[in-house]
Amino acid sequence: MIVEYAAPETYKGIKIHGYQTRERIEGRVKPQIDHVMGLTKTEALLVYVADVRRPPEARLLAGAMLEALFNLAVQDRRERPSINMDLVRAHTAGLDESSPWRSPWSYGCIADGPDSEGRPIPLTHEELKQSQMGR
Amino acid sequence: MTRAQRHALLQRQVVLMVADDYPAEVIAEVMQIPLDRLKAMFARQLKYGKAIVRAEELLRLDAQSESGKTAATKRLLETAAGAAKELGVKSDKAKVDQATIVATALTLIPGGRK
Repeated sequence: MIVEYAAPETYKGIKIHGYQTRERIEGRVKPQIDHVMGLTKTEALLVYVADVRRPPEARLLAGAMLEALFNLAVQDRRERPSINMDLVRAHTAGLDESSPWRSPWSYGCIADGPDSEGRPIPLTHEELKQSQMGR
Repeated sequence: MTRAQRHALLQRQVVLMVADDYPAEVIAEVMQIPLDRLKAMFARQLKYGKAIVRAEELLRLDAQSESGKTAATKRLLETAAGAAKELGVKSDKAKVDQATIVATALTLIPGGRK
């Protein structure tokens, strides 16, 4: 089976990971990015970042928004939100497409486990190498 | 100091005083020149002084925001929201805060907008 992958692109300032079909990017990844951008509650962002079934791009965004909330509170000398930033970073570690932990079988990190969204066709060794080099 | 440099300095002085809401009569008094001469020589600065200083501030904030300073990004977005309010455009403070959070987050993501 031959899969036609979409060309690299960014969406609203976020890099869309490679080796995804146009259908997935338009139907799943972009709507989830929009969804995360609209999340205002810390609790909702925390739930999202830990959900391995969600696209890694959107999970990275959720993690970054939590980091931003924390940093902005520090800068403004306000009470910091009760976020365990170590846990947030643990959930998003390895999600970047250039990470050596990128899963060839799912759209996330190897450490996400079997519940993460599986790829219809696993990435080849060459494709993984290319994504780690920032193709 | 050349004549042109001195004039530029005086123009700058007028712009700053206008931005600080000094009436023209007070500016003339501070600079020790007749009011009608002030109005003749510095008409543009008297009329647009506030806008000139504001534009410089926005440029400075934009440069700082581009280099990743989150406080500058926040100020810039707040300034835009304030301007929208002055123009009578409805502005939702919660959305401004959300915009700040998203803009800041984008600078933290690998490969995100810097």
